[in-house]
Amino acid sequence: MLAFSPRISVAELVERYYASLYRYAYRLSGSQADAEDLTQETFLRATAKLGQLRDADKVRAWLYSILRHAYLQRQRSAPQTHHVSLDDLFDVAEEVPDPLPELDAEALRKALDDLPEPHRTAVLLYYFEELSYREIAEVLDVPIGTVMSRLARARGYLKARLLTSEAVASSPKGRSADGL
Amino acid sequence: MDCETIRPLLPFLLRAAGELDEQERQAAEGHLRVCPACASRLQAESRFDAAIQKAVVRGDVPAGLKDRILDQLARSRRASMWRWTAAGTLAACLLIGLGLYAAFVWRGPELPPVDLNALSGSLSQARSPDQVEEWLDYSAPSALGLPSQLRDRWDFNLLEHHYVQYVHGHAIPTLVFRKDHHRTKVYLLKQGQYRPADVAEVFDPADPSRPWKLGGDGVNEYAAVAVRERGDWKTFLLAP
Repeated sequence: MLAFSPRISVAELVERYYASLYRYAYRLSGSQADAEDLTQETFLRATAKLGQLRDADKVRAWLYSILRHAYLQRQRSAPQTHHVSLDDLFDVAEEVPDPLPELDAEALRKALDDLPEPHRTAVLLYYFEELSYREIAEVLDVPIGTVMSRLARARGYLKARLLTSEAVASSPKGRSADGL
Repeated sequence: MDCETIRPLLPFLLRAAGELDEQERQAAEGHLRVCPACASRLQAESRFDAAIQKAVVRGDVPAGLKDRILDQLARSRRASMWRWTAAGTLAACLLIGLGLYAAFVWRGPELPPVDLNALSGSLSQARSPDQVEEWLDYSAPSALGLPSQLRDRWDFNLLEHHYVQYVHGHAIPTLVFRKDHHRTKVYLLKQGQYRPADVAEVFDPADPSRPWKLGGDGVNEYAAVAVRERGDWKTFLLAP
């Protein structure tokens, strides 16, 4: 069922990638409901475009890019929410504990939510999609210097928010309601 | 390379390749080998990056999400099939409609208009049956392609009047014959200009028992149409 490609079916795509896509969507949107919508929308778009997928080895990156486009499209039409100013955080130099305990998931979510959208997208392209600075610059269509600046500010901000005694969790909170 | 220079480059050293060119990378790595402070800073950045990366890809997934996605995809597929079916049905109906139109309504390409207006002037000037006969003999054959013996078909003693009638924007020479209480109206048409098949009653006004539509002299062809009426004139549509 739902087979649209000789090499991979949409059902297989869902099976393999729905969890990671949901997590990515959740990091981007900061909302479970939006993340679920975005994940479903991603698979709907992927179903329509599956014939365009030339390289099955790049299916993960392809799905991420579909999700990212869907998210940015929503962002453009949605009213802008208030985000923190990162102007003063560029030179913040937090000490990084060694060893560094696992970061608190909720604190991370809140910190990412407070980031301005261009910075949050750059952070997630870097950490979630594991793109290089150059690749991020191409995806966002901005100079590489802008990517460096955004990531440096975002990293400084995340350090300031997450490397506090309250934010560093003593134990992982990960619970997988779906067995994941 | 000194500490000041290397600080902005540290993030580029966190990943194996692709961020720095080879010369910069070698210079930075050379400095890190001799500067414990910058090396320690790089390690701290690396620990933080690893922690962020680990945390960012971790997270709960709502129960039943996979099933909801598959359900929605199945619904979307069914809706898409319905749309295609509806579109296919509509296309089939259009094709059938076009086929019926071609078979029963459309009889061929639109014919070019014929300038009958020039002809109307000379017929209008005819004041008597003789002049109409003369017109039929000398003007109509060249202008309309009517055969010269056309007048032999009619008894011009029965000609009541003649005029030019406009049909579909064309001036159509028209003769009206009368015998007792019957009137016969004759439209002089060049064959191919109109389709006589659209005319219900067609007959020779000189011999009402012998209807006719088409004629020719071997070189030219014509379509002459007459409509017999009692009382009011019946109109009909000449399809161009």
